[in-house]
Amino acid sequence: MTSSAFMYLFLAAAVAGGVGMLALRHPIHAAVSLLGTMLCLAAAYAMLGAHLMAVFQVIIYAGAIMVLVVYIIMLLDLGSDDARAFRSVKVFVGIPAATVLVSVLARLAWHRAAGTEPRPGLLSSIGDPAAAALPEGFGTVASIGRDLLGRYVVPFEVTSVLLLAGIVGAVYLTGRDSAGLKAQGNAVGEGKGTGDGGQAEGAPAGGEEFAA
Amino acid sequence: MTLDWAFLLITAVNLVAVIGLLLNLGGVLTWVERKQAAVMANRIGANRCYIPVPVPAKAPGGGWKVRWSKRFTLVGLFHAIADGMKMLTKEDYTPPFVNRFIYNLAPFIAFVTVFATFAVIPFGGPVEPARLLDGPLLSGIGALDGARAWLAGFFGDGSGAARTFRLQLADLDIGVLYVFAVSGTGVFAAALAGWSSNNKFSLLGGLRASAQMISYEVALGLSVIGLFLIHGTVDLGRIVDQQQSLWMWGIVLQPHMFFLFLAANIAENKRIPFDMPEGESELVAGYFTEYSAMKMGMFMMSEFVAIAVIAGLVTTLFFGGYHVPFLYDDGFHFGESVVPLSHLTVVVLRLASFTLKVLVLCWFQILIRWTLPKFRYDQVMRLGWKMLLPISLANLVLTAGIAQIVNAR
Repeated sequence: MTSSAFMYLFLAAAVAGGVGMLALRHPIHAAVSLLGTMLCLAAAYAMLGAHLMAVFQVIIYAGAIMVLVVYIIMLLDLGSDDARAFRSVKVFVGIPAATVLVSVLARLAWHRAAGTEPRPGLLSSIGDPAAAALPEGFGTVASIGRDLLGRYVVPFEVTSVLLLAGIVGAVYLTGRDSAGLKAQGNAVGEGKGTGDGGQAEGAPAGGEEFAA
Repeated sequence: MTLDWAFLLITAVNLVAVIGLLLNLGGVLTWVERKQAAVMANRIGANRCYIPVPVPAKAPGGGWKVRWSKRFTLVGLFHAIADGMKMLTKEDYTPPFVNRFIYNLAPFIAFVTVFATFAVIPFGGPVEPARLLDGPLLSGIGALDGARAWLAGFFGDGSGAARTFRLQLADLDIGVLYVFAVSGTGVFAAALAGWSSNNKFSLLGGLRASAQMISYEVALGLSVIGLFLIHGTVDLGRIVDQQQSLWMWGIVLQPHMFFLFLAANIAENKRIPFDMPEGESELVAGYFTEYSAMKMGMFMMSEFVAIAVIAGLVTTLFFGGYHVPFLYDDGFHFGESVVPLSHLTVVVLRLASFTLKVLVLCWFQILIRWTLPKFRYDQVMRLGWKMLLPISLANLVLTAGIAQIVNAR
């Protein structure tokens, strides 16, 4: 009983974090509540026995992506006014995406309540009670590692090539900037170039990444 | 569902032991840091703090009176307590220009992440409570029979067989990945503290902290993958199990990675020579410039507790965890000759071994802190990305190749 109470607690906190992320004006507040959502989801994964998923959720989403988001917000010193620029994104992307998600979940909940089988489709296994019976060692490091480098090795490697392309792109974009900085002469000095210069040059590079 | 009281009791004992060890070690290390600096600089160091002890003395007009003339200094260890009392009783001033919620949240993130990291580190060997009171000396004492029977009943599994418990808070399959996940979340403490203080120095400190910690996390993770390849697991309990023999200790298998791992950890902890985010000489106190009293104390305390946590992690991965060389579950094995020891002795020896290794590594970290000058910011970045990362990657490739050859034979 206690475990399901904790589960509801974490899931409610995750939803609250999501609502806060949309409702709060200041970018940092929104980022912190999104972070809360991610950590609560990780806790929910852990309670379902998927420890590795929980850790990946924290390492990748909370530890890497959210850190970068907070870093960019700090670096560009975004305030509440800057959030207004993204309002159209919220409306034109957020509402359709939310509609799709809610309708899928509602359909599953409807079938669950009525006790009927949903039509076999892309997402039908989510609500399938039979899928809840897990094989031995499900979600352990060994089993996921074996799957990742065995059965799914091609998608895995393709994804890493995609990430590599991203890294090369980032190096190209920032490399061009620092080359331009070097052309301006070494008047700035080596030590100072990384502090103040880094901040000044970070702004256009970050803007380009957003545009892309 | 019936509650597993034996498991709950062991977990409670573990919890008290871990939190007690970390908090006390954190407090003592604040003093060790100053005292060791003094010894290394040929000074006397922090030894002024004392508790006055009453001594009866003859009053001038005859009779006796109490004079508080004796000073109980305990080599100055009371400085840690005095520090704590000072921080708890100082005015906790919140500047009017800060972002209150995040400003108050940040020190707690720092504190929680550091403590939570220790949860997966095994700090003692397997304990079989039913056998704790056996042994040549204790089994002769009849008065302990009642206690022995209670232990066997309480910690049995109902069918008469005794259960074995690990002295580890969470025996997780994901082991060290949990450590990286939790310590990675610690970046937010510095970043959010720096941003919410609404101060240029704090902001620069926070930016430096997040950039530095992200950079070194990469090397931190990659530097120990070689060990995971050799051990075939990331579960810290299993890794320690395999380090029974001295030849399987991480320091023997991958000595070069010990230095990389320690360097990356010190960088994660933002201590000299990697103290760019604090940088007294240029940023006042960096990301916690605007903090006062115990909130500042929490940042400081989490830094010192992190020293102990790093020492525990390095002990577990590179120095055989709680293992004592040649000591097995039933006693010392030197080749053919066996020195049998009782279960209690083995448990205590292993706890002492872990604690001793942690203390030596704490000493080593503070030695580094008072020996090396601090890096310039670009040097920190160059070391992280252009030296530690390529070396870890090269080591990974090399270790994978050797492991492949060894396994193929």
